[in-house]
Amino acid sequence: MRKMRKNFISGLSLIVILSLIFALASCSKPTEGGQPTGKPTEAPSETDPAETSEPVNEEPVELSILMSGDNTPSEDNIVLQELGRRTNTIIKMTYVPGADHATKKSTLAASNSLPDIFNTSGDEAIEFKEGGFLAEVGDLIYKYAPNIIANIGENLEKAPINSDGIYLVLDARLGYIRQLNMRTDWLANLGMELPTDLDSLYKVLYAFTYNDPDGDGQDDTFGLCANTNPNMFATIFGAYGIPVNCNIELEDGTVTIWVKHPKFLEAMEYINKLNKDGLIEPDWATIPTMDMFGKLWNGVAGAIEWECVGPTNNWMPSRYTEDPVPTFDFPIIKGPDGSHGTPTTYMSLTSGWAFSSNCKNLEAAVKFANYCMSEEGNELLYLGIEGTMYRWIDKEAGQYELLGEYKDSATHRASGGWVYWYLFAPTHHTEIRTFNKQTQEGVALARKISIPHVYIATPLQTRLEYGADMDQLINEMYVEMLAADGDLKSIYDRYIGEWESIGGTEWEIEATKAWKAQEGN
Amino acid sequence: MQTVRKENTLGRPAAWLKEFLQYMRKEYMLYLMILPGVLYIVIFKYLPMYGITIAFRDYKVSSSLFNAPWVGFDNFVNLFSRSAFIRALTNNIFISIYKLIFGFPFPIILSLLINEVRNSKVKKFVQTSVILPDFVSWIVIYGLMYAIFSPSSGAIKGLAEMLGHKGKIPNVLTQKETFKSVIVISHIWKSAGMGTIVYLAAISGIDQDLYEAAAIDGAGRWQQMWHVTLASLRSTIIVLLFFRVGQMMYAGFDQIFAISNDLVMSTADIIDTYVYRLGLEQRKFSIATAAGLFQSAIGMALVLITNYIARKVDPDSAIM
Amino acid sequence: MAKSGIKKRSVGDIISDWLIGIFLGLLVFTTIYPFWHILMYSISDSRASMTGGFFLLPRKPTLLAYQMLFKTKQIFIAYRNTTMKTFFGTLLSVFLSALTAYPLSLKRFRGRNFISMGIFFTMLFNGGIIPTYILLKDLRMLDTFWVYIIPGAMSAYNMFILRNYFQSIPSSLEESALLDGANAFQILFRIILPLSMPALAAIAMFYGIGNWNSYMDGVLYVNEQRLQLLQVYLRQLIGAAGAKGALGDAGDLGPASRLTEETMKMTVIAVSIIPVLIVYPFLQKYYTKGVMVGSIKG
Repeated sequence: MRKMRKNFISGLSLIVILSLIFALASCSKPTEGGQPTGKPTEAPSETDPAETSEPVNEEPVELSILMSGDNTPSEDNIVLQELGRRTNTIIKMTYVPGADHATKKSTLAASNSLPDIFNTSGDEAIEFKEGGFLAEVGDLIYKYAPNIIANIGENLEKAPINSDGIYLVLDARLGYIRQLNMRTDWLANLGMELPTDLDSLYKVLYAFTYNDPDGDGQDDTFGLCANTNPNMFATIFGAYGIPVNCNIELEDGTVTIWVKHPKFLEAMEYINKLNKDGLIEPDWATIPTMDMFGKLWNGVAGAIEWECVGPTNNWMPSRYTEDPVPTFDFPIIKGPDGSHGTPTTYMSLTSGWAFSSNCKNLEAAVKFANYCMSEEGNELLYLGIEGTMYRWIDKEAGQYELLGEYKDSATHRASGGWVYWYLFAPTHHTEIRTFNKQTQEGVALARKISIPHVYIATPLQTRLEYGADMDQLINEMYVEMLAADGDLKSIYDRYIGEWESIGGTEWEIEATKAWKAQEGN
Repeated sequence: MQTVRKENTLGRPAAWLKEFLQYMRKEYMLYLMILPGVLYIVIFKYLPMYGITIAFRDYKVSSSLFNAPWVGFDNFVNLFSRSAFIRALTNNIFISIYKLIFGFPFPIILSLLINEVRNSKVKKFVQTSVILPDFVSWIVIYGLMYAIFSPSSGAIKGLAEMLGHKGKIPNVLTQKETFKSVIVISHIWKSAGMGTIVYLAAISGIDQDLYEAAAIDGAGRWQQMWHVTLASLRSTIIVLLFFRVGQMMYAGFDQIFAISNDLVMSTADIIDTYVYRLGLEQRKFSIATAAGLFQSAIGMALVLITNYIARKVDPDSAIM
Repeated sequence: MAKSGIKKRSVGDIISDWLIGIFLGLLVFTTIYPFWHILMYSISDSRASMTGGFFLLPRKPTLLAYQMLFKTKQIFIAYRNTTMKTFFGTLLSVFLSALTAYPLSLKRFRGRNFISMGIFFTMLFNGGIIPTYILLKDLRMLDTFWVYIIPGAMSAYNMFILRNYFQSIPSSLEESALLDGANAFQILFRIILPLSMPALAAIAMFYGIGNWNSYMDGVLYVNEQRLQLLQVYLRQLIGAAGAKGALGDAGDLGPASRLTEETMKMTVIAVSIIPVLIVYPFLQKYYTKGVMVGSIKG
């Protein structure tokens, strides 16, 4: 006992001493943090003033930026340094995991400490604007930012949030469009052609499931893989003329959700049959996204509804486990009345980049944004520093090679490549330009045959109020109909009735009105 | 609280004060001791509590919290008028009760059993093993559950085929009828190990003489477990029960968020997952805060009820 | 229970030993397997792992994921920060909890119920993220190391567990010390705490694990990478495994592109659990051995 006590006392004194040391050590930290200019002030001396368009002797401006994503670039990476040199800025980048971006932004906003540049959208953007957090940059953009004007054009002023001045620099990128990616090597093994309509599609998926398309003698394949998101069947819905997950205008002029399309039940009958007949990989209800991709990568599924960027470019060849790697094509499936294609994507009128009203030098921030939206700026943010990190093989065709240690994508990323490229990205951004040929064609094809839909840019009050409840109902209805054994109509009627009663009807009225007003312009 | 002699307090303040000063002179060190803890609680827990008023305001991050307009109980009314919330609340109550009934006793039983292991190396090994699931996030656990139950490639299917079963295997992860059991069992499995730590610490504090005395009285192994170990754990169990009851309405967001899917949502959706969806789509800070306050208030009420019952049954076990 | 083991064991005892053994054996199997799965997955070749199923042994063993993990300087900075947070945070927390729990464990302490209720109340109600953030901003704690240890310095749950344990210590010990003229601090540090090692070890364990796994602190309260926490770094790394988000890299871009997010995720979990498993036995020693209260009394 005495020994124990002694040990304890010596332990305690150790704790006290350590605490003291720690307290002293920590005291110095806030001051260190309080003078962030210590290191970066050396940067301008390295800058050759002649290289920049800025007047000689101008001090670099500090810009704070909040971005999110799942990468771990180092704080002082060479890409950000180079970007700073080219724009005469010192960039203070805060980079948070994607899942917590919104929470971080809310706390920053609530404590009035938003960074100079951040992205925002929809309801949040409007709230920030009304709270006076966003700077109006119209004059500066027309004066200093030709790239922004060239990329976004008239949409800049069309966006409802920008009705009384430019507060939001819209995302210039267009989302990729989905299409059916189908394995042509399996088709060749089976002696089949690319399907062109719903009947031949069924036959192909049936053969993929039951006729041993990979020739390994085992019954281990399926027609296609899916999860609970209806857009995994976008092409099939498209063949019935339905833009999946989008809003539609009915013949009587009412704007409503896609499941109220007159052909929806018919389309669901078709998909329900695919499921009943076992042509859809049966894990669809519970499968994590990566495992769903895995079904394609491992040669379990013969088709996937996805942006072709995945199957034919980004996953090619290293994600596929078969040798030789599978080959793909993009069938166009026409419905009974010739409808085909998947929902198109419009340039967003509600999301983009904003400048904080706290920003001390808006002029520099706008010039910075303009540079990022140039071809050269986006190349730097995507591929890194030319000559050091990569070089072009054929710039026209978008072929490049990585150099030296940057051949390892982990090093490339840690140095800042592929990390910040969506910051003020231009419409025709570097990613699109550097796809392989098949993917470039696939992206263009998907856009060519894409189907239009109702896109309402103003936030709707009924949606803000009931949106989550309405969406959840539709999700549950969809999976129940997909998995059902019996009558689909009764499930449909039950859910739609509830949907209408919890705010759906109200929303239809508001949406129709907003759409009419928007189209009128 | 020790009763201060009441009859003197009004008539003779000097005596009351004198007694108080005397007490303080003797015990001031205790107050000095608790000062840092109390300061901590006041500054870091009570100061931010004005945030609770968000539940009664129409708050947006862009307005200062103090300027946000008061809306009374509107946020609560809004919440309770949603049929999806009522569904979540109902599920929440059932899942919470199941978790309490089946989940609370399990760590106690487990610690008693671990304590019965004679070989100390084995004992340590078992203890370390059972806490492992607590370190693994629900997302990963779900990945494993998927690997086991998948009707196309899961372990269950492999096992069934080995035993000669042909045809489809039902996927327990998509069966509405049994999904609540999946939630409760996986919860118990994941959290029981961590739950044993407090009990084991309490068990190791038990006076060994008690066992010897019981053995001399002829108590067998199970009787010792019951009369000595479990009896000594009584106050720990009660304190933990109070904590658990206070958190009743928090039915396990991380778990349900990770393991549920739209096919079972009607039986798995709980308040926290529901509010998460609201917040995600609609940025409803006020409603989310209102829901949280509702959950806490129910917790508080349950604690008070438990305390009331505890005091009736056995005054010593009440915490208030 | 070593003492009862010395005696001749009855048939019933042997049967119950077996029953307990089988039950615990099965349980241990199910609890160890996930961790084993993670470990084996992390040292398997990504492509070989893609078919899923059980991992009793690694498939085409490789340490690629670990090499990628420890490639950058930042992970060591993150490790250092989290280790410091865990060490100092836990010390401070246990110390503060003990100081708070002791007076509350004494019946003679006036205001005991009021303070206990006040603390218990904070377990049920809290102000939320935004007011806390504003408070820390006003206290100028953001972007300093302090924000990692001060705001979470005491958990009411752990404090009450400790108080409960203190209450189980026979008051006769304390009374005799009081008669000897010891003051409250002396009693706490010389008598109560040494007798409470099991409970101290248990709450140190809870605080330690909490600190080690803390993530939101690192995301919300800190902008600078020199203060980045391990869990924040690791979480971001998962997505970076040979991938642009969920889509993967174009072409063959060095070793990293042969890793899937899944392998990286498993590696990251392994890396964050292993240090805990190394430290754990040192604490476990205290809360399983027990203190011979009886012998101290004598």
